[in-house]
Amino acid sequence: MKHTYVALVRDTAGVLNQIVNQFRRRNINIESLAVAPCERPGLSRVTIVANDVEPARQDFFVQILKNIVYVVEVQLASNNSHIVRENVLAKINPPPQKRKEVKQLAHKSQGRLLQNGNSSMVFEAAGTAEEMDKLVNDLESFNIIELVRSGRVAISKQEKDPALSPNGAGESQDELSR
Amino acid sequence: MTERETRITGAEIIWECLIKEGVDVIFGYPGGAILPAYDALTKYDDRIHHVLVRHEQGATHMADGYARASGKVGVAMATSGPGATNMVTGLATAMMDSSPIVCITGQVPLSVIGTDAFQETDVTGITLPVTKHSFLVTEVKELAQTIHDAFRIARSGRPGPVVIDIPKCVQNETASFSYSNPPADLSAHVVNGAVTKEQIRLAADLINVAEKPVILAGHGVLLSEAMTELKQLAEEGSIPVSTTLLGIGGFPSSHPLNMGMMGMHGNAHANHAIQEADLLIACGMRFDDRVTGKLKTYSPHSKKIHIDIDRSELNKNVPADVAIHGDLKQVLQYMIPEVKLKNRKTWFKQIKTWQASIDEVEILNQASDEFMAAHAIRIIWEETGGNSIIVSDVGQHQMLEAQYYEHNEPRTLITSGGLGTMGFALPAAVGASFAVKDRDIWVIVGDGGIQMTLMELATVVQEGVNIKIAIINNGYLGMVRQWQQLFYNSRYSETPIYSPDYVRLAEAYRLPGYRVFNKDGARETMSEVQSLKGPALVEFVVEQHDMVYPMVPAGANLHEMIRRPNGHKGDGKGKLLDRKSAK
Repeated sequence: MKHTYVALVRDTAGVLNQIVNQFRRRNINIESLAVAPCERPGLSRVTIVANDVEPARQDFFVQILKNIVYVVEVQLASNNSHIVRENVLAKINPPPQKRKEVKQLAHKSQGRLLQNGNSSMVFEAAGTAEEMDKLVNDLESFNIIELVRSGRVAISKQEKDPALSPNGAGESQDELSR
Repeated sequence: MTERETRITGAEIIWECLIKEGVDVIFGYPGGAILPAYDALTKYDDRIHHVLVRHEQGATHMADGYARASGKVGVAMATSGPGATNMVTGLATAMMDSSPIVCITGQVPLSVIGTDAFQETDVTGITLPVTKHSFLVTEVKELAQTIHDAFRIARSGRPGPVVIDIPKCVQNETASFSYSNPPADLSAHVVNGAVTKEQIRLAADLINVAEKPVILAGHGVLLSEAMTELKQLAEEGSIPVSTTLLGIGGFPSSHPLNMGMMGMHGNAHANHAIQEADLLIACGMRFDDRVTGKLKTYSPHSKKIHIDIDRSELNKNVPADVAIHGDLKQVLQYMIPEVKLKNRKTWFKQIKTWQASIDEVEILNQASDEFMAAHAIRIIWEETGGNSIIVSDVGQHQMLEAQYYEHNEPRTLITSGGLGTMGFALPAAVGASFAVKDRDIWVIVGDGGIQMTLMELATVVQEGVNIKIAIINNGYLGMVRQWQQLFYNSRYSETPIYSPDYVRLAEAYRLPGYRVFNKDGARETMSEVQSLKGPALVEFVVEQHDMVYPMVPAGANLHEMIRRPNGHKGDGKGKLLDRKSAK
């Protein structure tokens, strides 16, 4: 079962190693991992898609990732809570008679051609993982030479970013201690 | 208050920081990449005592033993490469048992990092999985802040080990030093929990209606110093208590509500009570597999309240009906006023019945001239009046210690629980001796474990530390042999183990050495050894085939224990070691 985690981490050497280790030591394959600086200076946002055989372990992973010193906040991302997107770059070599179809596919999938050479074309598109799976499937008929997927990235649907609260959102009002 | 800023070397900054952290003893071993720090130590050795170990693993166990005995952060130091890799076992031990230690390692200069330089290893990479955190310091101006953060991380929340890897060039460079700087923003990490009134009310409601509750007291009781609160909860709610191995001492053994240790080698009545309970109140414990047996059938009829400072422990192994993330002492303080005294006579009567069935097969009640390991440990308990700090190693003697040495105070048992590190006891006791001056410290160790770290006998003698060493010698790696007898059809593969002549070994190290073969001899020698000032070693030559009972086989239901058969002495199969060849 695939779980998507979004973590806010300190932009420093080693933090990614610690995150990956928590999955690696339990022999869980990370399907995709996307890291880049975010709106807060000194912090990065990481989106991890992990393929875990144990369906109910996602909360545990949220907590153990939070235990890492340089991890500020972790959320579990779903299609309900987050907008989840992926970017695809594909270098294709369609037969000349099919080049027109590529342009139609670009239009239909809201993609675009970044390079239109004699022997190949570079196609770019973004969308949900499911949309990108379908797109890649469609591109196969145009002879894919090279395929690059960014891995998923996710942004919270909440209008105020809960990740900005230092200890996470949703804690009760009648808190006794901190 | 601002401190006077002066420019000093990174090596000097290390010692200045340690002094500011209140460190007065450090366990270590010098080497190439840590030379500048050791050179600077000569300016500080009037304020910090350095204990020269014989192996870096020993340094980490000593820091760990010091931390467990004192509640303060223990510090160890080693060089790069092999010095640092030798520390890994000690770090993992401290990690599993939530022991706050800071290990400082030298590293090759930054200019050659990553070139496979002499004595270079990726220390942060190796140690990150077995520490709370591991720092590589790349700039001398960040060194003081890093040491500050390391101590804070080690002792905050659920304590644990932290490594600071310091390249040689960083030790040699200079920077202005001030330790009044504010701690780094680790607010997300250092969390004391978030307890709500609702959680307290839900927990109290469960306790007040429970007919058959059990308190499970773990290491968190000691770490949170919640002994008084735990006693109050047990007494005011009339609730029996069972402890984990590391929870021993958190609730007095002599207390009528104490059922003793739970789990694989726990007391049968404690395990039965847990299985039959209608409520478990888990206090600072983590439902380790040695405690639960088969998870699917673990305490099947009970509601669970789980209190822990580490969020990731909640709902990890056993789902909780009320999971409270917080400091145990504080949570219990909130909870106690809500708990009502309840008559649980039927429950206590049932527990008594289970307990009576143990007494029948209790080894101490069996008339026998044989000298069993359990007898040796009981005699140590009697002769020390139960007042010593015991540092036990790993194996049969460790479980027997937990069963037959009664601890009424916290921090009087130091043992490697989670990792089960053989060789832990001797160095850990050396560390503990620097924290505890007013009572005796006894090492209880097997003939296997002592041979893993016996080089530290030299440290014991060089430092003149007042520890007494009891070697329980049965000529076997006894716990493994027990599993072979029970689960591998008595094929004793590589478990008979040769020992040196420990009395002559002690003499070689210039330690008083004794050997005892029976109960009377043990009592006599114990009283003689206790009158000695300074270290001594006693070998207890015990019956070879005894086993630890009761035993829950790995993966079995907690209530399905193998019990001690009446008069059972093992099956006598397998090759018995010829003790003469070992002498």
